[in-house]
Amino acid sequence: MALILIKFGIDHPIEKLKIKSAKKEDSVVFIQDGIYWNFENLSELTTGKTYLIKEDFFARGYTEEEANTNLINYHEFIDLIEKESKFIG
Amino acid sequence: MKIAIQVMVQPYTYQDIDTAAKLAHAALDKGHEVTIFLFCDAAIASNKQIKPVRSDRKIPDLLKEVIDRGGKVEICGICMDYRGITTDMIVEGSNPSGLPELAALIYESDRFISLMA
Amino acid sequence: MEKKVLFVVYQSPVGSIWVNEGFRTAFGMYGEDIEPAVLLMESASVALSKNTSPESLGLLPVKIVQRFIKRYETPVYAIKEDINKYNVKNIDENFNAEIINKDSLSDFFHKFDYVIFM
Repeated sequence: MALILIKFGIDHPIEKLKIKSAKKEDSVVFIQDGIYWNFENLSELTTGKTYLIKEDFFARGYTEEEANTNLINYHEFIDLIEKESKFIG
Repeated sequence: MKIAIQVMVQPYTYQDIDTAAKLAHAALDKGHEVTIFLFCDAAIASNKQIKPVRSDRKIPDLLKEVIDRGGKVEICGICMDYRGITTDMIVEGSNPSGLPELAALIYESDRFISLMA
Repeated sequence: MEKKVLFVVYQSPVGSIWVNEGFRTAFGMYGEDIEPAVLLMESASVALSKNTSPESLGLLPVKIVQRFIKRYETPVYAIKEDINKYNVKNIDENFNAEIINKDSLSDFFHKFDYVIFM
């Protein structure tokens, strides 16, 4: 349904609202500083499917083992863009 | 598919042009048509006279690489004017554009991705 | 087929350009079969006050957008909770803003093809 793109970290005034606005059938992609949301309780915040951009996650010093949700590369991100016709971001 | 990517914030201070370029390449790899639209301070990224330190990437070249692979780069014209960027300064193959073109891009694209300010 | 696009501004109308840019972009959509709307959130809600005047600091005025809102009948929305949070009083009717509740935002966002935060 919708791709929700989260670019800013956990202190941003808007991003939590965007995450919470996701519906079950939406894909929420965390990019850039958005990956810091990995350390929040995402399953409590949203019913949407959640994804972290792998490059941004690793570049900030984290490892695969620390990811609490799906890590995706840019090609997999394009797969989600193909799938979701609506955009919130 | 036609995929449009809008960038709004300034290069170097933020990562958005880098993200847009990576996204564009991944979309081009999959055979999509890609346009990057530079809005507000993101227009600065089109200035080929930018001279970063040697250890940093040259952001206008990231845009050029997208263009060289068949992607398009459009720049909000009034945003260029506001920032003193003239057409002779912009990356080869990029185009000064405007809100009518952005509207057409939004309408005609199958997907529109925006990196928020 | 018509596309519905919501431009969301959340930054202050004084000290940042995004309220002006949000409206300017929305107005630019009318050349195509696009139905634009603008939502003012968080400190952008302050734009609705009759007393808000970036021009008093030499900055670009916000009220210049009002005649285009009227001309194009652009829908403008604001959030009740944010209006209270930022103590916005004396709301300028020339924005013709519809006040919605924060808890309706998920459904509201999903009515649009694209929701573009600026």
